[in-house]
Amino acid sequence: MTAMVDVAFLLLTFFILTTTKFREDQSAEVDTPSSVSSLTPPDKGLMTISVDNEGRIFAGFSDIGTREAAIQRMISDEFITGEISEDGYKQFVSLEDFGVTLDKGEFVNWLNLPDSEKEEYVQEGMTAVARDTLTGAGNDLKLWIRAGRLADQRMRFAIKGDIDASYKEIGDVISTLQDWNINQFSLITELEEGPSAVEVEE
Amino acid sequence: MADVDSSSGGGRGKKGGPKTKKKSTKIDMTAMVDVAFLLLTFFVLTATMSNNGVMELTMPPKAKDDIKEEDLRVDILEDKIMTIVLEDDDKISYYVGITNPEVLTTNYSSDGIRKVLVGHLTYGPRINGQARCETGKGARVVKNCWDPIFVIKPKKSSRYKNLVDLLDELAITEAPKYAIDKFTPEDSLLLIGELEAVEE
Repeated sequence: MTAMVDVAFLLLTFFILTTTKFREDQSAEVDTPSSVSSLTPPDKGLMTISVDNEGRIFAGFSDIGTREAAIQRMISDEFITGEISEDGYKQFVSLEDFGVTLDKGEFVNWLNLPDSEKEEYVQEGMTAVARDTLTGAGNDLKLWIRAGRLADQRMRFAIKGDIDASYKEIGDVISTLQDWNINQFSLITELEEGPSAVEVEE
Repeated sequence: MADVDSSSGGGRGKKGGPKTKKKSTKIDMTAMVDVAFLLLTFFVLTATMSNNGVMELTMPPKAKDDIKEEDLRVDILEDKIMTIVLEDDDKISYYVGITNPEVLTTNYSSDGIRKVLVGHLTYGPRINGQARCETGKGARVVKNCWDPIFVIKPKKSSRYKNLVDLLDELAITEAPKYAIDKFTPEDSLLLIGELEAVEE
């Protein structure tokens, strides 16, 4: 019986590790709706835009290299101004998603917070519409999409909306994607047994 | 392993022996193994259940400065177009065509919207005996075939779940062409008989 228990513990360790998947910190809590679509999202080269039940918008890049390239691009193009501390930079690269606006240096302030305060910081989500309707400036998501695309030309985009998110924000996200001529993207859903699962062709 | 410790009462058998009692090094592990198996079962079940899927969505291109709306316009027989408006409280309004259409309501059950979709998909073949247009690779071009188009109009207040549910139903019924469009004040005029201010 010792051998069997050993195997059982091995399996237990394996499943604990795979279910948590060494999960990176996730800011957005999203309960996705279900669909019969049997396609699975790609692991790499994906930018996920999440909309939670309060309509807050978060964005995240799947690849660590893209995260670094994207934030460097944002700094070099002066969309992010101000000094980001080394810890803040490291923290950003390790984050699966984030939802802090670039307005009024909030983004830099957030990254420069000490660890203890960062845990209590509530991310209010980024904007997906222009803050300044006259000049069309201040769309955070639009800038991050640009930075991500320049970092990874073959980047694909996915929208991860919450069941209770309203179409207003989702529509804003779609509209922002379309501003960059991105007319094809994925909606992340939870798998459900359907009456007839239809393979949707690419 | 998982043995009942029987040696604790050692020495009872041998009367009056001067030997010191030897304590067993075996520990009763039954309870721990039970918990381990319980956890194992839990993780095995949850591991297979959390599966993400994706739905591909293609939007029609936006009219921009260099692309005028007129250039994107295509003449389509209005009977082919079914407009579906996602209302609040999990209701759906739908109508066919553009000129004085009859607006009907339904819900998301399989008896509701799915029947409506199937009804529209088979309308041409049923009423006019048209063939359905072929889609996908190697599709033959058939003249005067039936290729219905579904236009989804979510309101700003519509739940995202309802949109995904509808896209799902369209995938289940194998609808070939559908698109998401903006809900305009003209639509509200048609639906509730008055121009409702649509906030931008």
